[in-house]
Amino acid sequence: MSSPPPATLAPPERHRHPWRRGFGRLARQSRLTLAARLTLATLLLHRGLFGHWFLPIAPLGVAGLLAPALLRRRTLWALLVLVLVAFNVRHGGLLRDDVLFVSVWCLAVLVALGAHRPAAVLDTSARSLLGVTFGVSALVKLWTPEFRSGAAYYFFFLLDERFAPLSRFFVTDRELGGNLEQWGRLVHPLGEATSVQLAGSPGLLALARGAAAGTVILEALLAVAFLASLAARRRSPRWGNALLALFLLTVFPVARVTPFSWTLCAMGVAQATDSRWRLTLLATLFLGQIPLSLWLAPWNAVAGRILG
Amino acid sequence: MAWLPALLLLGLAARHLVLARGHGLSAGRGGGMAVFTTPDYAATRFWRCYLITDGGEHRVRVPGELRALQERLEVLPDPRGLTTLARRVAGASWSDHGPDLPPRARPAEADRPTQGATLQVRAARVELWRLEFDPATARLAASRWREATAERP
Repeated sequence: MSSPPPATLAPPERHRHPWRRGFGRLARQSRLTLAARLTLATLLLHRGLFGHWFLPIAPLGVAGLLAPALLRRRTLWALLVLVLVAFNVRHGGLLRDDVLFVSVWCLAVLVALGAHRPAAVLDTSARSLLGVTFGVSALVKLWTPEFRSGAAYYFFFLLDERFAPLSRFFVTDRELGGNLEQWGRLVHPLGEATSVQLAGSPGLLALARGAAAGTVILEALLAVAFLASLAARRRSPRWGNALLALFLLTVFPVARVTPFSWTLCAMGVAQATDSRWRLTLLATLFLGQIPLSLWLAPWNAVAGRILG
Repeated sequence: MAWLPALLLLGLAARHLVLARGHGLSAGRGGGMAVFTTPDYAATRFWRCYLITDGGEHRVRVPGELRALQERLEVLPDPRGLTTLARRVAGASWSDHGPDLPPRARPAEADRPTQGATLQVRAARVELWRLEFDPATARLAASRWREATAERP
């Protein structure tokens, strides 16, 4: 007499909802594989950062994403790092911070792939990079008087269109448009103005000061979390991961520096030993992008077209 | 080896600090992790440019073909680069469009001499300006920060 099949609590894979199957597949990927894929996706999705240097980057990125055998090949990452180093050297190392950031992270993947225990090496590289990045960023912000006073954020709230959805709670569209006109008058190549008055709001200034303080505190906590876990030879810090998720979910949908957020997420994934944290970080990255996409959508143009 | 990338990033940050304090490197460039920390950065720095002739100074726009050099100098305004920009401005072809119109670069229009008499340029001065923002009054002030003058080659 044959024994009955063993009972399982989880339904068979084919009976699960597609999104659960997708998350299951993601959770089963090793953190090294997931981080490497996310890094290549970061390079491919931000072609504007690289200009014509994207030409050699694109085939390498696509090959790594499409062929699992190539993804962990040192040759692929060595070529990628070579292109990125040449790009940086050509510009005297003065490229945008996000380009340097993703370049250094690609070097970290290359170094890990050449090591005896690649996942462990990438884990240490990721946490040290997260710690150093947030630590330096917090120190620079504390050191800069315009940041401490809230002047920097207030300036961007009043003049940078990326922050307009937030600023509109405090100043009208007309005032924001007027600020841009004033700005244009000041920087006009044939203009005479040496100072202009912007339309501001005490509430927006208070928000700028609060946001500045909040950013420094969050970045300092992130630096401590990741560097302390390395110093204590512990595994990936839970509260560090939680803070990183908070950072991805709150800072980038407003500031919209997506190469940074994608690279930070790849680093987070590389050091998160618990697959639930890896999924959480990925989910926060994409949740952060959805409001971002809605934010960027040309609603006024769409409404105008519909209403004639 | 696992710490190598972090050390490299630290090195870049230190280099940024030195170049920013000593030579005016823009925030957000060179790995200083200083994005959104100050209103003064490459994209908010701007130019004022003058042609020096026997008849006095004329305010002009920098010719479009010098944009790449301008952008590099907005990131890191080194004195030699500023002088090169001034020399190339002075060396461009300029025409006088009359008393009510500023002279303008016309390399693209060199085959249309009827648009104005050629301006006899002796030298050019380029000025790089930067911003200061007072949050208490929301007043934005610009000040001349770097400048260079060069004679027509």
